[in-house]
Amino acid sequence: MAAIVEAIPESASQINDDILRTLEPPTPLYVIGVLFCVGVVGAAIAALAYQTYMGFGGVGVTGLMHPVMWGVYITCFVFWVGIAHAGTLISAILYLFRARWRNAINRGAEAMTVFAVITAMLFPLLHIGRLWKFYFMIPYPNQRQLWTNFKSPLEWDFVAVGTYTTISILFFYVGLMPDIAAARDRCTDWRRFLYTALALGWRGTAEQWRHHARAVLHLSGLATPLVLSVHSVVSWDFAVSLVPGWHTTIFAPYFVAGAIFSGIAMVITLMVPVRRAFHLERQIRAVHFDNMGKFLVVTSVIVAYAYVLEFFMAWYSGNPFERFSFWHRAFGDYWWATWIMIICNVVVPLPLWIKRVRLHVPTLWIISILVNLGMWFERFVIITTGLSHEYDPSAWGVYTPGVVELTILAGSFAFFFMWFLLFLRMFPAIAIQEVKELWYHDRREGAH
Amino acid sequence: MPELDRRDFLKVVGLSAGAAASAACQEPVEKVIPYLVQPEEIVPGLPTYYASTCRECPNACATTVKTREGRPIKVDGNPDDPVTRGALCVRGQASLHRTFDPLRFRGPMRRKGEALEPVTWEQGLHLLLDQLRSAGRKVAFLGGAETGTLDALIDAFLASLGSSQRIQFELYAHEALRSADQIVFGSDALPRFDLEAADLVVAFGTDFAETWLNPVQNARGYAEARRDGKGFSVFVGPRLGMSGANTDLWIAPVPGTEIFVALGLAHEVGGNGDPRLRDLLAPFSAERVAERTGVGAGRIRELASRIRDAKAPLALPPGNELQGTNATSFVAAVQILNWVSGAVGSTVVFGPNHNVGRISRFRDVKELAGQMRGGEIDVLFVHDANPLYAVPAAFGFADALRQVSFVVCLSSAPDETTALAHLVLPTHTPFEAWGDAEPIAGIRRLQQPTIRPLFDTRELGDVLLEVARGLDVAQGLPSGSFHDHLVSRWGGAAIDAALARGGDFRPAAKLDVELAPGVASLEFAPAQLGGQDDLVLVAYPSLHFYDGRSARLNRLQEIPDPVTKGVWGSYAEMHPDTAKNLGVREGDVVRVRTEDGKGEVALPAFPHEAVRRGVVAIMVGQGHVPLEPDIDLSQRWGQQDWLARSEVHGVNVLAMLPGRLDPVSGGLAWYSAKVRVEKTGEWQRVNKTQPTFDQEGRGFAQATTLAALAGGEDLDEQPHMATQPFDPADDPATLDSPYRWGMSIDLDACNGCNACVAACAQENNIPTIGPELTARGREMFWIRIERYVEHNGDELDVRDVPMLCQHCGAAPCENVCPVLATYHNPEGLNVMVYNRCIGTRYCSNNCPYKVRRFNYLPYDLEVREPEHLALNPDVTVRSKGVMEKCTFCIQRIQYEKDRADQDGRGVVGDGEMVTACQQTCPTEAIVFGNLKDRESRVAKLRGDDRRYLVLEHLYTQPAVSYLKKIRRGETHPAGEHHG
Repeated sequence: MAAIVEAIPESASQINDDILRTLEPPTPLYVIGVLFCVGVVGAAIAALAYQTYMGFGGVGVTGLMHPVMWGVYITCFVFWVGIAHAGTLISAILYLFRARWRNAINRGAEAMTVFAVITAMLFPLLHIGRLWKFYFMIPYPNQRQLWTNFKSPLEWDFVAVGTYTTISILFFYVGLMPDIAAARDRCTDWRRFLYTALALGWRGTAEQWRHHARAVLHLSGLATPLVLSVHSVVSWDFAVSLVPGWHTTIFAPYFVAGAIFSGIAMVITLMVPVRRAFHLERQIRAVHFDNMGKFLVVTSVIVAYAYVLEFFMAWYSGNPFERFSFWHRAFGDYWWATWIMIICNVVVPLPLWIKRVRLHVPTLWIISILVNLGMWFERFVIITTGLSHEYDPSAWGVYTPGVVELTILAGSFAFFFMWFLLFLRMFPAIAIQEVKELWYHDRREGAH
Repeated sequence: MPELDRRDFLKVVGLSAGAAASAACQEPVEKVIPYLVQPEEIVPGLPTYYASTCRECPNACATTVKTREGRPIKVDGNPDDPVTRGALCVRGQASLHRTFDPLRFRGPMRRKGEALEPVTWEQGLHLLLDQLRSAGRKVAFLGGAETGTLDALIDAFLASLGSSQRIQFELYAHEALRSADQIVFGSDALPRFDLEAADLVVAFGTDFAETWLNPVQNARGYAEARRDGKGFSVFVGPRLGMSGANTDLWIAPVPGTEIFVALGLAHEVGGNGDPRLRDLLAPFSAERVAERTGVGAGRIRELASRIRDAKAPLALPPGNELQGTNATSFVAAVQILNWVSGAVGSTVVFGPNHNVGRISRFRDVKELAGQMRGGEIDVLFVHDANPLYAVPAAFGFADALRQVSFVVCLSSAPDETTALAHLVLPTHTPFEAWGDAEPIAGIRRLQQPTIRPLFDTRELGDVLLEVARGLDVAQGLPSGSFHDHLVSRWGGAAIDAALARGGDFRPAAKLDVELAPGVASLEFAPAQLGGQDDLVLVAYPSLHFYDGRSARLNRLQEIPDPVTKGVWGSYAEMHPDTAKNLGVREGDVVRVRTEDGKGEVALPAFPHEAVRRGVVAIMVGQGHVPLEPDIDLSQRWGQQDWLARSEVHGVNVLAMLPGRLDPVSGGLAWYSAKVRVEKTGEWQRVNKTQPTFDQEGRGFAQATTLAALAGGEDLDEQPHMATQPFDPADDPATLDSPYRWGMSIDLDACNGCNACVAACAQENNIPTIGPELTARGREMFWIRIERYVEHNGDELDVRDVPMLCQHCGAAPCENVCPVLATYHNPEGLNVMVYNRCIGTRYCSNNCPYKVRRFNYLPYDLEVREPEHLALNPDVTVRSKGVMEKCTFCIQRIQYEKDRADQDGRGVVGDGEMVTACQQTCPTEAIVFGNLKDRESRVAKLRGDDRRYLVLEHLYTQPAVSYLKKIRRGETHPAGEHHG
């Protein structure tokens, strides 16, 4: 597939047909894909059961150790929270900025956000030593007068990610509502009942549209600061500590940029095959890839700057602990992870400065996957290299992830893709009403 | 016929359904049974202490055993004892687990084919009596060192059977010391080497703080003599072990020639002046010695002048690792040095002597093996000895034992020797048995049971008496039980006072000795190192396993070795340069082989600098054969094989020693083999808990110099980071409390002996997790001894830092816990609430001292019957998924506060509250107390010139302060101890 062939929908009903085609009976490939994901999720659930209940079970079945007490699970948590950023960025911020090109991809991105943040929320539970006591994190009034520690970044995290999940789901749902109604009107099988219930009686009256537009606007206003706050708070999990390599003031912007970087990359990773499989070339067009490619370039540069700055500050601070930590990061036990991170996040996106590359879908797709890989390793590098060689040389240690963790890591991707695949079949993957709006705009502008 | 109406039917159905449902969800019943008849001295919930004696090694230190509701839960030194004064070593601290060993014999066993099958005592004794009746009474008794009532009883028992063939088998029998003293002073006594009185110590490979004579006494005396920068000490030997690392200067002569250093020193110190020694010492001028040993003449002269200037110098005779074929003359050389330097009578004191005179020489063991092989022994009693493990294979003891028609093992747990026994009559462990010991002349210690026997075992003395009575030969033996006999020997009712005190401590008087004429006949030769290979084998005694007898105690396996920090295994230690020549790196499995090829072991290499070039050092004590447990393990054990001890840990270096003896003393020549070391190509992880000995200038272990103490410039070892002063007593959390607990640890006193680690583990129910999990970085100890090696010119400067929770005033762990499971209590303690912990582990990440330990797995479920009886009921047993760490023994603090309240004093006074680590520390390196009490020792030590705080710049405001190690040595010309 070479550069993108531009095709413009011919009529509003063709838009409906194009988009709602995704809801038609699935191909065998789709079924196999879903079953594969379900299988991997099953394996991960088995791994979790083993970790939690079986015989000599406990978090100890992972490779976690003293001193590296956070590993793949927290890496995954940060990674998936990061992925969850693109959806809200595209939906809310670009909505507020009236970036109209967002319309074709915002639904997918929002769905991705919801599933990613749900996936992310699982990891703190998998990670903690006594997951059956996770509710101790919730500040609820109780007879024992126990309260949570609001000084703890983990408590901030709990609140921030919880808020973000709520808003993301609301935002997603409100945007979806008119399209569910459209699906309801076409649907004849059992899903009709589902759509009827979820459409909440949407009839498409002017009054409803007016309320809907206002709700979207307000939710965008609410969601926008969250895009910046969630990953800032997640970054404070690290920045607030005194671990060399974690204790850095640039973490909040660095993490937010990284989150957008990885989130956009994941949008590309998802939308390219979806576009191909469901023949959405008329909806997802060159402008989308071009703009997302630009996003990647910009955030890649910010991330690269953060890397350079981290190393520079470690040296410039004169703090021997910081210096050692960063030296160890680049040349120590985890050098390979660090260099995967640097190559994937800094070097690989460089060709995207060229427009031809941005518009060459396979290249863009491969770059996006590598960026995802790089961003996963970024979190892994920060977490493990910081912890493995902290202050006390006698307590240094090298962590190697165990089979259980890696199974659950694979399971998290399967979990995410499983929901995404199901979503594609259950709900319109592109916001019909927004695409139509855009289409009318384009036509009117074309007529002038 | 009565009709069942609807109402009744519903009642019955309801009741039975309810009953069925409630039965189904019932928790397993655990009964709490109160005492039916309350024992007078036991108050439930309060500890009862008994004075007793530790029997983990022949030193038989005095102990106090803490019991709760009739079971011993902690052992400590007996403060009334004049020798150890309340301290105890790492082995003593772990010794409880011998009693609570799940693999102990549960009752008598008889060999049937390959396996042992349970029998009753009657059947077992019947079998034994039959054998004795038919055996023509060619009987021998092989046991460990005994010095008390039992000793006499065993002799009397053998005499009643018409035998005198008794071996008191100890691997560390100090044969050379006894023989050399006979030659030099005309007395084969083993004198007291008074480290406490010495201001200059020269140790010739002596592991004085590990296994040599009474290491607790030695360590304590050594630390006392060196307080405030006093004293100077030198270690001469090929491997800088734990004791050596605490000296100020390491001299490593060419292996085998260490004896000449002693002679050279004697010559230079002034041996020429004594006509009796002039000819003897004439050939050993500093220059001549320098030629042979590779030690510079200047250094020998300088050291000699130090000895001359010293008020009370002391040379310690060679430890086991340096006992070669010349052991007697080597000891004699050292004793001559002691004589010429005036140490004899001041620091080498005859009386009270160590009571080792009746311990068999190794030569006797060899002879016994010969007799056994020749069919001269029909019945062999084995008690408290494991010759099949400890006797080098070259002596063929296993084959000899197979020639004995009947072997009776009177042991409490299975080992290599019981695997060949025909009959096992299990005896009590020391915590269940009566006994006494007199390890030092005049120091008589009593051992009393602190728990009812757990299994179907009997007192050894009673078994012997019963056998003699069964044979009708008991005329010369005491009537009544062994206990009755013991009581009568201690003067009947008078025993009560002795029991309360732990014994009768009246050290024998000092005797003066004079040089014996025999000294002139001494000939001095280097140790013969057999073989043409380049590397010399050093088999060194193990601090943790002694001669191997303590290796079955899992806790001692898990505590990191003081020098290598290795656990659960063996490793071939060598200098990094030697390793480079051999082309091996850490973990490369090497085959170590003696010249004749008879002795061979394969084990991973571990290069480190504390071993001389050209030497391979292997620790004694590992490599026990796996046990064939006679009980169904699947019912009792978790998934881990190490608990069942069906795994081999490390290799047994004793097995490969060539069968050479020191011809004069009849002792085993340990230091007598050259070995070939070959790379096998395999790799095996060296299981150790510390990845590096380099502290990277981070100031964890700091030192100062004598010059700095005198007001000069100090070494600059604190990281160069901005710091801010603070007073821990101002901790705002403690405003309403009279306490702010704190600790001070003196690195100059600490020798890294691990006693605190074992004491803490026993006090605080710290689980033992096994080799695999330790290799995965999961070790659980709340206190660890960090070992850092600095270089002072050419010298190694080894520093041990006990690292435990610092109970920071501004604790980084507290802020980050989302559920407040760890918080600052009003006494300044950083406390853990296990119930509240959900296991985010952020606290550990944020702890710069890395002292928090996480229960990654349900270690509590791995505590197997009857090990659970050793748990301290005052301390929660942690379940999986929660964090734990040092609590400053909060249970003891609570106990002392309660006591202060009850006594009406209100506030705990200084020195009353003692942590477990502090209590057992032989060097008194640890001081605990209330920082708010400005007069307390700990508060004063916080103002000491040597005080420093680890990572002070982080402003964590630690409550633990350290006192810098004092560097007494000067930098010497380079290259002198290179091989």
